[in-house]
Amino acid sequence: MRSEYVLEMLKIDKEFPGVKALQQVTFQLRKGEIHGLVGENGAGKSTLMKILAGIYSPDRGEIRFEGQVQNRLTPRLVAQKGIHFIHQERHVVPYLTVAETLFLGIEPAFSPFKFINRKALVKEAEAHLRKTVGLDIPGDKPVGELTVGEQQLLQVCRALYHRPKVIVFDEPTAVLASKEADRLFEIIRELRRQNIGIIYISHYLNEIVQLCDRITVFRNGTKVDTLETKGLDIERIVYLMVGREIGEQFPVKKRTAGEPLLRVEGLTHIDQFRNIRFQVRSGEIVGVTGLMGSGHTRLGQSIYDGSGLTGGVLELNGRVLKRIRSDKAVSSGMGYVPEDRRNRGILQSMSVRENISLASLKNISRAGVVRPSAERRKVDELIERLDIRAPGREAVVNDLSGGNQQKVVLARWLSSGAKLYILNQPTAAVDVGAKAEIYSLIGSLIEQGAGVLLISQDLQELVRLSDRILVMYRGEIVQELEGDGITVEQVMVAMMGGNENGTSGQRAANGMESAVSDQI
Amino acid sequence: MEQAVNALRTEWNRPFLIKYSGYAVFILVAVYFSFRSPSFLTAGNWINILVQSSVLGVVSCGMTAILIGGGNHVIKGGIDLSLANNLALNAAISAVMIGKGYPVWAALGAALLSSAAIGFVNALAVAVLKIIPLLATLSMMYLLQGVQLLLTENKVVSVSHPLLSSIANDSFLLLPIPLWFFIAVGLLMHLLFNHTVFGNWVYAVGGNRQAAEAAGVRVRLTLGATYVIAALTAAIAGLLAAARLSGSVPGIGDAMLLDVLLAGLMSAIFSRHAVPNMFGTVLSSLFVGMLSNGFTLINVPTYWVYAVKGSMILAAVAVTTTQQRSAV
Amino acid sequence: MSRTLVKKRSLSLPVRNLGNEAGRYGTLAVLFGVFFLFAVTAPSFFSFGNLSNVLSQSSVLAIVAVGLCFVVASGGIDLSVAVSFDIGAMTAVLLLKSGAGWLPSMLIGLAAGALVGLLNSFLVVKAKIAPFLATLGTLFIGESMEKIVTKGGEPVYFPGMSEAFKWLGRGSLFVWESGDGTRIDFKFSIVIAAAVAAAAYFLLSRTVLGRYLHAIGAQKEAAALSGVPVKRYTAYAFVLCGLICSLAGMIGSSVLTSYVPMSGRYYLMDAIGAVFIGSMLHRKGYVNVPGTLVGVLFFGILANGLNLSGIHFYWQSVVRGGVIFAILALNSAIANRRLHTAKSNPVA
Repeated sequence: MRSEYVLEMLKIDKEFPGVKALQQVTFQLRKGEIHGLVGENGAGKSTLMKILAGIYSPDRGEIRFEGQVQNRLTPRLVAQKGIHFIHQERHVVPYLTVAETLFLGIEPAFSPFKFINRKALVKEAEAHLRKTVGLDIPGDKPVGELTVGEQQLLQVCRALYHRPKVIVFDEPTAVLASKEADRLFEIIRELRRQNIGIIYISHYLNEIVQLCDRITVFRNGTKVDTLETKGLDIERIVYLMVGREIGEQFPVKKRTAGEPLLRVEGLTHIDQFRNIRFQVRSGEIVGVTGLMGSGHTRLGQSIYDGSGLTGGVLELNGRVLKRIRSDKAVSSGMGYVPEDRRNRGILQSMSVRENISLASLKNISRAGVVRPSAERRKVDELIERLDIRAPGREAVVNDLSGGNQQKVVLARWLSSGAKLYILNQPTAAVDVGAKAEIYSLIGSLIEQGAGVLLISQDLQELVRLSDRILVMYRGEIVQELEGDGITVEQVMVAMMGGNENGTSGQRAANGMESAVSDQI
Repeated sequence: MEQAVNALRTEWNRPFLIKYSGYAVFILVAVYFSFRSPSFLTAGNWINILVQSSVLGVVSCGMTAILIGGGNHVIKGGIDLSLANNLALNAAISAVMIGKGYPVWAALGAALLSSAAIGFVNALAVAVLKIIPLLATLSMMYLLQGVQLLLTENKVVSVSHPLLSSIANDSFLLLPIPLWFFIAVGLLMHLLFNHTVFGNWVYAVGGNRQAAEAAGVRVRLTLGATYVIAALTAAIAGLLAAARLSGSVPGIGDAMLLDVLLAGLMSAIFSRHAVPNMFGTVLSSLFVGMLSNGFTLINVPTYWVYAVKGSMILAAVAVTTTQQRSAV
Repeated sequence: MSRTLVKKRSLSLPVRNLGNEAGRYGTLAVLFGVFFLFAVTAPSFFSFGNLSNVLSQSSVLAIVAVGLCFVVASGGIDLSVAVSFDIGAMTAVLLLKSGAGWLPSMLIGLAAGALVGLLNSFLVVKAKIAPFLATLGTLFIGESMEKIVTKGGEPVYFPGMSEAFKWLGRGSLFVWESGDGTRIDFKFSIVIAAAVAAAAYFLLSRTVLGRYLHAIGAQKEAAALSGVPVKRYTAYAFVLCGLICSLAGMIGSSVLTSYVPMSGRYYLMDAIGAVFIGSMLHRKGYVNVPGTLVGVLFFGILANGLNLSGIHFYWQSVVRGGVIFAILALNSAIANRRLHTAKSNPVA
């Protein structure tokens, strides 16, 4: 009897030295369904997908594809069978053209020495892109010039070229603006209509609820449950994922703010923003947000290291900064947690200890010589305080989970005694548990008189944490929202330019409404 | 993510300036020489330059192949320090064998085989054993240096053979034969790297190895192939060198290495994306040849050439590499 | 149910370390192997007299390699060490010849080396040229200047140089001769090399300077965002390297009592090799001074041992290349590629 499931992973066990990654996990995907996978980092969903991709082999368990048992999957075999992956990191060669990238490795030629008919390639690429994902771009454009959303659609198109039966999306919208995300959802729904089985992994629970037919929740290597999403709310999902109520995540907002730590006036960037004016006082969290392209992410780094600034005044602790450079920023008490944590936040190959002490070496050294015992003491203190889970302070930072890596970065600034923190998407790709810890950490920083500039696209987070929210649109601050009653919808509307673009703002706001009205 | 995308965007807005700066330097230098010496711009002189650059040009194309596949990284990237010595050894083998009376085809065949073998070993070291190219080819370089010394006892080996002198001196359709070699190799390499699937793969592997691998490109095979191709260009260049020098001269390998590196690396300034490429390599080799020629014509002693070479290359490169370096 | 072998592509922490350890010990094994091979096959090798010879002959290379460590640790490379070397020698000898005292000559020689480093810093930091190209350019320009100054590249002989200066390279800390002809000549240059190495080791592993350099080498952007003054410290690395290499050049010229243009080139490749062998011996693959010294000694022992075994000089290069190759192959075959950075997807 033909199975209703296109893919089944039954009673999968997987162990690594010291870690039981998966225990008796069963996962089944139907044809033509969008199935969401949720769970904290470390819960097992990535490992399961890696097994599916043929990168790992299960210790025990069975995998069935279209009813047939599979032995020994390899990446090549998996692709042949029609299972394709759209990864989080878009691996692209910036100077190859769209057409070349689309057909890389599968160029319409037989032997590697066959000549490429450039023009034909470009034509076919353009046609294909238009047909399958509705993307209308010139085929000879270098891929590096595409937007992130376009690059991703390119990937999807490439997967579709092989007539897939299953497509796995891994955190696809983490880097997309909401319009692009909407477009992606359209395409995914269309794929469902074509009876393709879709696995959708994401931390954005509101999207999961919107998009998926069913979801499977993982916790600590076991499957907690598989549910229909109809009528499901986010609180319930989080509860299943974490075993805690979502309300516990956010700290209570502090009301009293003190002296201004940071004051910015007329700050202008070459092309990202202009005439920015605001201040951050001690004890307050100022949120900044906007759509992609509004300049809000650039703002954070530019305030910190001056990159791209062409004008404006920056005052720190009442003193005007003549030269804005990162080392001056650090010595003046600023700390910056960058968006791209992996490449610009942590020093991957160095130890936890070295990472944490990097910005505060002056404090633990004498005449330029580092005092190892002082360093150890300080680092241990911080590891304990922040509950950084690592096999010791000498552990290579790259091996830690995203949440712990972020804690290391924060520890660095705690160690250097920073008073003004600029956090750029601090909880992106961080699991729910670590998120909560980071929120409470921010809370305690505030209590001790620090000021925080929180740049984020996670509106829930923003609304819950910030005392004030600056909304940017096309390079300018268009609205400043204050007070207890800020709603996510208010922020969204401001983000989209207020009353312009009314329809899309309204639609998106409606979408968010059902998911988060309970929270606010 | 927005930052990353925007960073990429602004980088690509400068190609216009970059592409033409390379040519600008070339033309400026040519203009300078033509002012200082009336005979610089003659056809005869330019044929001279072309011929003199032919050996360098051929082997530099090989170096460029490796540079493309290796990406831009200083230490981890692809490079072949043994190419020049490969060339020298090749010339030495032919010279010694011909000198000992072996038939010319045997001599050339042996030389070709040895170059190819070296290429294969390098390919294995880099692609299969995954040794850092800088180190793998460094050790190969030492090895070849030694073998060469052993073979030639550090002496000039002078031979004459009708085939060799024909290659060095004869012309075909008004152009000297070495020039034909240069053109042929340049053209072939250009076609191979810019118009075939394989070439696409090499650029992909060099641009982002993970991406290429994810796309299903056979990375190891592709990389290995670049080393073998480079070795073959060294073989051809070795033949040319043996012809032009009427034998082999000790030390050419060491002397040529820097020039070969320069020509390969400099090729990037002739490309829109600041990436090494074949056409740019041809131009860079010509540039190097033009410098030596020009200075001889205006009677400046050769040791000035080094200084000028160095500083001009730096100036030109500064313009391109600004694009590649992150603004720190 | 169907079961397959555990297939691991990405290794978790403990196993990776095991791979590293094996690689390190493998490298050491080869080095020791060569040592013992010579000890056995060349009878005069394993004598104190000979070993002290090896040490003195390696001291110049050791200094160059140690200087190079600073630049490579910060993620760059310096091909112009050959020029710093030569400039140190050139300035010192020319000044001595024109009658200057040994101290001023040395100081100015050091300053000249530092100047080369400064030029490199300018090219790399201000002009943003890749270190490989920038130092290649400096190499060209520097060698050309040498040829110009000596009008063609002829060595400048000065056997009558100041005794104090001669002592740098030729002086011995102590000489001990025994009746049966063994002669241990512990040259002063060994002491200088040891001192420089010790200072460099201290700087690189225990000071803020060293930490910053390693951070820049590990991940420049992240280091910059952590407040490390990247530009300044990159410059420091180049200047230090130039300074140290000019010292090596002066010692070299003292040994020969002359300035031989372009002699620095000889040390360039060996120094690079030594630095990298050194980094392979480190637990995490960092550039480190002790490892580099092992690399230097290795080259010294190799050259010396081959000589003593009566093997022709020409075989030196062949053997040198072959053995390095073997070490590299061994290291790669056993250890995991630790230069590989992050995995693309987060763990589990």
